[in-house]
Amino acid sequence: MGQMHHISEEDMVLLTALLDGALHATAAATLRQRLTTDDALRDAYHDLVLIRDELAELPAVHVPRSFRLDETTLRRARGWRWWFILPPGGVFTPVMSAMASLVVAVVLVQRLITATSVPAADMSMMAAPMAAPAMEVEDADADVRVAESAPMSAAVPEGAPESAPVSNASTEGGTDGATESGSLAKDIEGGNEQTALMSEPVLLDEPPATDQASGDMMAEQRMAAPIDDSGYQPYDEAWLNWSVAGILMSAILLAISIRWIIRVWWHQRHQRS
Amino acid sequence: MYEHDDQHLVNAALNGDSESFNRLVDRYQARAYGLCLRMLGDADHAADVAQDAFISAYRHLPSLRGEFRPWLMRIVANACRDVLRSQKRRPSVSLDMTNDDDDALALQIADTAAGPEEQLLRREMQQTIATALFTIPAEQREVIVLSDIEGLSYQEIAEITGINIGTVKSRLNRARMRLRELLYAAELLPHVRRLTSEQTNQGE
Repeated sequence: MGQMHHISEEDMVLLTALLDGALHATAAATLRQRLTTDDALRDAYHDLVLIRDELAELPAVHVPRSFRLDETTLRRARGWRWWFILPPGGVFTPVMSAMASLVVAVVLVQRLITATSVPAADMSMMAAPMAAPAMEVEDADADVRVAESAPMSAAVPEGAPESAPVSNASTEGGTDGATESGSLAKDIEGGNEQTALMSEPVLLDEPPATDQASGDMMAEQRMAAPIDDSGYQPYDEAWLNWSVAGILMSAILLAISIRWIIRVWWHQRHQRS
Repeated sequence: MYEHDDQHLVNAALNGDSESFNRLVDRYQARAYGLCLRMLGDADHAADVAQDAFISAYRHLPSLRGEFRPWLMRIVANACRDVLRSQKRRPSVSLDMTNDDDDALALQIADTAAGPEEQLLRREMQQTIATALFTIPAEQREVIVLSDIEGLSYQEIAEITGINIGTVKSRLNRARMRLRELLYAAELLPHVRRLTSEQTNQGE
């Protein structure tokens, strides 16, 4: 009865590689040379050859039944797909996905630009009444002087009655809000409200270019928009954050879709070649 | 040629032609079921896993990139691995391969000119090998089945099993060493080797 020769694992690795034709030519020649002289190695190699051949000759298994999928199974396997109206596969789906994300991104960007640009245009009208309270705290003395030196009748235009309540509401100390708002509006535009307030009383020779309708609109905006220490908040911050997040998501989806298109295109080209 | 035809069938299946997918099933069901049976050792279980693998393949067909055959075999191998993993958690012994599947493993000795002693010996050896396969670790069994029974290359095995080529070689080597030990223990290998060498000498 033959006895199994134990050979090192390293030699077994070499023999396996030789058997599978995965050994480098030089190493294979060296090993073949050893096989002619080393009986244990030769027996092991013959054993491996036998095992491989016997495995390869194992009879093909008998398939007990057909594994074809019937229509019910296919329908269940297909499941519900969101692209059920689109043909699966191909380049159509990623192109549609890219276009949809592009449209969403463009709409969001456009809305964001509109939202941020409108308040800036109206800043000349909006800034004065909103900025007034903060300035009054700092320059209370100056305001009092301005109020005393400026006759109410001269400072308050008839077309701007709505300024007074806001200013009065914010200056409950009793100074004349109409005069303050008018003068501050003018000075803020020039960017030197301190100097303007201190140097001379402000008399508005001409009424501001606001009519009753725009005044009402401003009042509504003031009621709706939040006011904080930093001044006027022209748009909702949460909405802004969501818009930016939406734009980012659309950009990511667009990038994925483009990558998908490129892969499909490359794959189809590879198949053709 | 098959690969080109496979791609044609895959495209047709993607466009809603279910018959094309079933033609792929016809083409590869023996391989898929064979791998399952060699991996799991239970005919019923293997059939269920093979069926599930084809359903999974159909479901994920839109994500197919590359050739169909290695992709399908990867799905089948993964399904077998999942079953083996769950069996490890709930161990159960199947004697299907050793007792009931004589039909499945019925030997068709290719060399009809071999003598009755050799035929008997080789039949015994093949049965021993088929049984011994289930005594080696599953990851080694998977590699040796794919390599020596399915005839796949190292690269294809690495793609299917998701391991690198070095690990494929290492597992294959260990599996062969283990089978060699088992066949020696059954005192079969020396006899077969002796008969083979005698035949070779007679031929010369």
